[in-house]
Amino acid sequence: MNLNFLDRRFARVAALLFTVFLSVALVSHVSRGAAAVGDGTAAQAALNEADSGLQEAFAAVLAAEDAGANMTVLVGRLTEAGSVLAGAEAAFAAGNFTGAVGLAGVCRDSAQSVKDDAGVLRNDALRAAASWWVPVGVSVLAGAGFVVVLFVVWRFFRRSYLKRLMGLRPELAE
Amino acid sequence: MWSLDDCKLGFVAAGLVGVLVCSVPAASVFVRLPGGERFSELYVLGPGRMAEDYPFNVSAGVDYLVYLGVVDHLGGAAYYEVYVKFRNSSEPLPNGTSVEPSPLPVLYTYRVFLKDGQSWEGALNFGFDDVVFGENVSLVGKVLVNDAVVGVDKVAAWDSVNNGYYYQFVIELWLYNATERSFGYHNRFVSRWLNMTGSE
Repeated sequence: MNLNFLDRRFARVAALLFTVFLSVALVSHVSRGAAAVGDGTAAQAALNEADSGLQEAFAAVLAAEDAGANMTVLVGRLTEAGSVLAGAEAAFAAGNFTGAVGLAGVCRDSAQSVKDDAGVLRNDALRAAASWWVPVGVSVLAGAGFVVVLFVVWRFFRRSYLKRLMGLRPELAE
Repeated sequence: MWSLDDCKLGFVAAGLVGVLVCSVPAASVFVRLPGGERFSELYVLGPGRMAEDYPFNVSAGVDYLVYLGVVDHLGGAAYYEVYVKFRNSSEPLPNGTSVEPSPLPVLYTYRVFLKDGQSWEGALNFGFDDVVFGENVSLVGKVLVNDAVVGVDKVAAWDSVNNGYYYQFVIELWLYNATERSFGYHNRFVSRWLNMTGSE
């Protein structure tokens, strides 16, 4: 009788403990899943942001190129940033959301740096283009100088030619 | 001896040539010469960066290497995306006539920025995992592309004509349109056939 009472009590306690354990496990699993989903969403947002950053940087590069700037170095840096984003996407696909966010951040910063530098190069190129009159002036001055020099040479040549012509004696035929 | 008129003509000719030469700096400001034909190149090379020794008979657990190349002849800077896709012989290739890409999912993306006349070459390391063979059928579970592992579960039936289980890498070239702020298929693709074997 006493033993039966103890058994029932033990069973109740065991059931209670099992319920508590089950609840904790369930809550833990759900919260871990929710955290993973949250991490995944944040990582996806970071990837999208990096991708947009690359597009904006390329638009800045195009504008600088249109202004006449040399873009060799900047396009190389953009390709490097693009390969970092590919690494971020691989990390994301492997479920490494922290790594994906980190690499996406590196890509975004690189793209921003290229965008800034492209802006500087564009302004330099526009300033250089604004001084278009320099080569035109060089052409006009050089052309005019050449014509004047040629004219002076021509005058000198003509005079000496005529002088030489006057000095010739006519030959008499017998 | 030359006459004075002949000499005058020579001086005038020299004057014209001189003025033309002097006008070159000014002409460079205003005159823009038309460029040639505008296009992009996409190619794939073997592991020695030559068009030879391409991997063909492949198996699981082995690393393979080819190189992809892009050249920009578009007359200005370009932003390309190079998509790596994987298919079996019954799945669709890109359609060159209707300029449509293959509908298969992208396994890996290269982002390439080039200026006019510039070229890029990048390594494509690949391998296969979870490959199983059944009766006249093979299944590739995972494809490893560079540092990415992608589940594909691609099935290929035994090709009795060519004696093999044939899969194919399809590499597509997409071009960024800065006006529309989106990528469009650039109607360029290359592909490599692979014969999946139990061992090399």
